[in-house]
Amino acid sequence: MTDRPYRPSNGTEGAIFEERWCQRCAREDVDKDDLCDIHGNALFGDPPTEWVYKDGKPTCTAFTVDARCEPRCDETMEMF
Amino acid sequence: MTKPTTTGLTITRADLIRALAATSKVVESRNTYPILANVHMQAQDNRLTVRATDLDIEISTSVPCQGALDPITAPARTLSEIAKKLPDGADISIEPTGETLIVKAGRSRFVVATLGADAFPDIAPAELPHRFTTDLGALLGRVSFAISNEATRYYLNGVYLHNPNGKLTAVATDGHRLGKITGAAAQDLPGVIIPTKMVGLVPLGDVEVELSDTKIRFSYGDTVVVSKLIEGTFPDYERVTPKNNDKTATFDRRQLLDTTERVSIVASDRGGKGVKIEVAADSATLSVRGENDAAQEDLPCEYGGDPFEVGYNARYLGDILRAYSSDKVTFAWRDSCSPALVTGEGDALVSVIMPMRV
Repeated sequence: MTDRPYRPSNGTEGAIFEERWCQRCAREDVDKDDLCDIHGNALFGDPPTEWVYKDGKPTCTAFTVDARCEPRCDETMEMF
Repeated sequence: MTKPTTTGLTITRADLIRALAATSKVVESRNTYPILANVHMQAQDNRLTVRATDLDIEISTSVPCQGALDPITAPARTLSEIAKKLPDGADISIEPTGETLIVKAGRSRFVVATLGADAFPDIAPAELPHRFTTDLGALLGRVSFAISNEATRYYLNGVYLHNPNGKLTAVATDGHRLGKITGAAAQDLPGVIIPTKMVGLVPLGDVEVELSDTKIRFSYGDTVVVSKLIEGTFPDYERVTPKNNDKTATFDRRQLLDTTERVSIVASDRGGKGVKIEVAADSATLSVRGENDAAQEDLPCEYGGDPFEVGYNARYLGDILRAYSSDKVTFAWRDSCSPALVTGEGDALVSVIMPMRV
């Protein structure tokens, strides 16, 4: 079964997704304004097939950890 | 336009490199305002003062020179590259000519575009009422592992400095882990949040600190750093700091760190590097289950309670263990769903780590 595609429903939701995935992904160089193809397509072209719901959460299946800014752990409980 | 009153200066290569290296740390590679890529230079009384800013932080330093220079700004990166490429021991002359600087050394001659100094921002505060001297770098550096990088929770993007019980205390947290260290006795201070970038600029050793509600300045040698503070309310961290955790296990810190790093090799890299710790009488087992792989390793510990298991993000656990310098660390738990208190033998650092579901 294929995963259900994810589309941000508004700009704020899109910005939250970008902060969680794109800005922490090795495929993208924020310092050089270098968007990856998937992110670029999401903004200007075809909806990317890599953006899907996994376990009910928006996910990018092409995400590659950028050692400089690893993502926040979704499984760890929150203090506040 | 004011007519230049000076003809330029001569400075040693080493001094120019030192001044530019100290100040350029704050110059961003990309800038909305072109002048922020420049350093502000002014020389009088045979001292060259170089200043750089990113609008949040300003660094200034002064070095000896011969001659004088009216205020001018020039690209930090270009000047640094020129100075670094010139031969050791070179004397560099810098002369303003119209809207350029002529930089000469030996047979080399460079023309560098400048921008007027009038437009260069000055964030230096008028008054900083609180003043003290302390090893600020040692305090901030020990808890920096827990600083959040989430832009949405901007008030966690720094270290909270305050003085509960009359002692200077630094705290950082990202909501998953927390580091707190208490230093020397201090006067009454406002609680302030020092931004991450500033934390990285504070050197080890005593610095003179001046503070207000909105800005901090510290000085060492000929260098002065001023930073805006993060405006926001730091969370009540005492509320989440465990007080009565009764299950305590003491580990050899290095051994626990090495074991954590080994077993987490097989973990997935999607933020779910969960390591499970199972403690029983005087032994513990660390295990990780990846998508298709698994790893497990036993290690000794001092524990006398009922068998107990808890899970942590391996990266968080590693960061906390690396923050300590003591040989032994002690974890105190209440249950597997509550924060654990981590302390080091003879170490002022106290940490809290939240569990994850593994």
